[in-house]
Amino acid sequence: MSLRYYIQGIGAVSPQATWDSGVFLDEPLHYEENILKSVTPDFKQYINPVALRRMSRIIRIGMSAARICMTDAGLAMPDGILTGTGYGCADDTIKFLQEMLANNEQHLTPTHFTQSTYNALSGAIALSLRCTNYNTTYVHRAFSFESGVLDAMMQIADAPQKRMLIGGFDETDPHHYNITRRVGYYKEETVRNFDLYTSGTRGTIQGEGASFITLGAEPTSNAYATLDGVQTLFGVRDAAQLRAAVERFLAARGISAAEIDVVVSGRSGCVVNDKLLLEVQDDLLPHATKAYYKHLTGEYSASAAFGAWVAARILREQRIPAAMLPTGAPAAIRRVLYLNQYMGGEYAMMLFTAV
Amino acid sequence: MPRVYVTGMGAISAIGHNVAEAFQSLCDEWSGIGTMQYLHSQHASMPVGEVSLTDAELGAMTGLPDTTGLTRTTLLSIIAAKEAIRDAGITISEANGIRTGFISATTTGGMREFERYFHELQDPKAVGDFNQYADTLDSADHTEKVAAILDIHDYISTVSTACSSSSNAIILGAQLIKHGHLDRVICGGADALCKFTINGFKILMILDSEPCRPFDQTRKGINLGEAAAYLVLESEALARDGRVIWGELTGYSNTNDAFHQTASSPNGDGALLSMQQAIMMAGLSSSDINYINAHGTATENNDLAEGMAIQRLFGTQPPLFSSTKAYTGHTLAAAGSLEAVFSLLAIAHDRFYTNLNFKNKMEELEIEPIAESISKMVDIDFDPIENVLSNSFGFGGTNTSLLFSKVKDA
Amino acid sequence: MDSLILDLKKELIERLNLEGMTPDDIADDMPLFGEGLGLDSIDALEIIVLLDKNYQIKITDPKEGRKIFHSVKTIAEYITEQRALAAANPPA
Repeated sequence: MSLRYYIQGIGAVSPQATWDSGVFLDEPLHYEENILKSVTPDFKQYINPVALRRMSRIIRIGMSAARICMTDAGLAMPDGILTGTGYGCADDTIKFLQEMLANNEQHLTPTHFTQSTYNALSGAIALSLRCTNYNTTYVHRAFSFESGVLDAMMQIADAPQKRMLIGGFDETDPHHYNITRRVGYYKEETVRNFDLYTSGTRGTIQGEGASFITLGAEPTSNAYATLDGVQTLFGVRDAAQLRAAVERFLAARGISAAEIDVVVSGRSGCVVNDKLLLEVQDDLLPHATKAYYKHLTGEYSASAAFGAWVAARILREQRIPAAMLPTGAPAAIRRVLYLNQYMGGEYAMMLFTAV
Repeated sequence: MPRVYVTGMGAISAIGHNVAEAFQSLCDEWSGIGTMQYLHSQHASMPVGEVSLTDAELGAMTGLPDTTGLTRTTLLSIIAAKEAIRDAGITISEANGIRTGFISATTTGGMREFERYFHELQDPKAVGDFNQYADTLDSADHTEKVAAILDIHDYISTVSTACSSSSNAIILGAQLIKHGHLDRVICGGADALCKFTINGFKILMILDSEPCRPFDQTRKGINLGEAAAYLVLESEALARDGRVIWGELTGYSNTNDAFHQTASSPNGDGALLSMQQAIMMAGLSSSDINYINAHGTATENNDLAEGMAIQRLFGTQPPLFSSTKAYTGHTLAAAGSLEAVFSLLAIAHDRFYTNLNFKNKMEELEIEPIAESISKMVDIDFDPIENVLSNSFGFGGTNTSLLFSKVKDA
Repeated sequence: MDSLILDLKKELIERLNLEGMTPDDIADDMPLFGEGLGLDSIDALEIIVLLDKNYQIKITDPKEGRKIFHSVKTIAEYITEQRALAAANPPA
């Protein structure tokens, strides 16, 4: 099949100052807490002030990332808006719930309820653009962004003129943090984010952000890379199974493991959950440079969107920022494999190639 | 591209614990809307469409030895998905080489349990059985638990686009088959009633304290319901082996109103576009549609927008249309797949359903839904039902239409 | 009445998240919806909750709200009227 899928633009708001396209994680922010919140741009640059009034923080973050991405891609009207998220608009959801419980189901705030829906961001983007095209939201933990990518790729295959806006977003929330810490999601001890991978303990740190890509079949002058495929894996039992799945994924695209130059790894700093991922990236891809990002953004369900953002930039700029703690410095970077695990439950990969 | 057929259906809702019971209720014009029995809320006076079983009874119905940590949404989901698989007459096994997916939809996932145990869960010192619900608010929780129980591993995903969620799950399933990623997909949605949504719709003042009246001039809002419903979609090659085929998914469309955060455009622009595109995809014209299972929530806004869209597309003599929300309540994420089941039953049995509680034509419209009087006119020779359009619209401006067609030479 | 109007303005700014606005920016008779302040249907629901919570005034029909919520002044008049009614007919 001759059709290729080009990343025509990108945009991210994260706990690093990523909205500025002039810098690429060059001066990373250091954190000494287990919850990493986004560094936000001046929202008025991206969102009209009247609309801004009723938007929650995460909707503002998501809208800004989407706008940055569209401007970067020179895209005025997407043919589809696809978002992925784990907990969605967590802050509004929890606020409405707390009000409901505290006030015995009286005097609640309608705005919290209307903003609590998972598709609030995809709807808000459509509304701001008056975009009546395809609009959906996937809410499957660490398959959320990946589901959007696969959906968009199929629609581009159906109609190659289509240009799709695909994003992933999640927001930190102290209640979720406390609650899921009960089942071992987050570290018991406070960790410095740059010490995440040497902590030697269970759990990770919570993060957030919103990242978007514009995907289309045309190799625009601004294209960063091609996105050659996405695969999600559910019910992975051992490293052999994961390794076989990665090999099949690469073989289906006609390449071997030795051709992967860089692995953007979804290592989370949890000694238990990272085990299979690390084993496979070391055994199957020993020659590839490994680069990490979850210490920069924290862990969240839709963090693969940030993974795509870094993979695209690595390929266009032909360099891996030192902040990603790369294990090497490849001379030329042609192929990047994004390989992720989330809480030891979901595994996923995406393949990117330089243009 | 392969055609996509429906070979199995499962549903549990206020009007029946399985598809056969639901069909009987629809034919008998029996509404499942009643007083709140199983959910404990300050707004117990609000009529709802509850599944008339306790969590323990649902647990027993699943046939599983242990249902620890399964939310009500998950229990509903397992029951309906298992029925769909039985109905399709299939066995799921990695060994048979049939690539199988499970795509579910939900708007609130495990909120019912989360809101019950929220205080305990967020208190790091509290200990107890509630710990099993620590991450069940996550929408993927029910999908993964059901997929594991059904032994489905090839592809899973979860959709949440408010009240159109499970229609979009069906669209993704169809796309994955058409593009050759999967051979078979079980897709649909599930939502258990919870205080969160009761209070949300109540504060928006679109919850009716009386039984809801879709497309009626006096309508005052929705009754909430709970349900799970799934379809088994298969590629043509797989489906054509002598098993019953309920119908073909010939068209689908997802559009956005881009009008308002929670309201539909009153002239029905988005709804019109989604119906038009679904009909176009199927290669049909509007005159080929025999029945429309409308979204018809009974809110002032939805029914006006949808009614206007039907009138603009079909004129003042539209196909028979009705909302089944007055039977089941608005089952949110499950509504699209539940009504897909009803649409396929309409095709299989050449039946359409009375729009319960309709008495007064809306002032703004020239058209009206299937009133009781029409459905009783047994001597009228109606066209056989070959093509049914099923609409689902929701917050965030989401509009989805599915088009199911009769499969003739099956 | 003037103190009620000022209270209402402060409450509206807070509840409706009117960022950067002060009570002085809202004239007593400025239309709240449409051309004036540009509020919408969700704001109307927020005002209904505000009146219930802070003034124990229940509005059950959002359409009724539209007339009452024309401006801060009309809201204040409605509150005053309802208070007078309540004083004349104390709950049994």
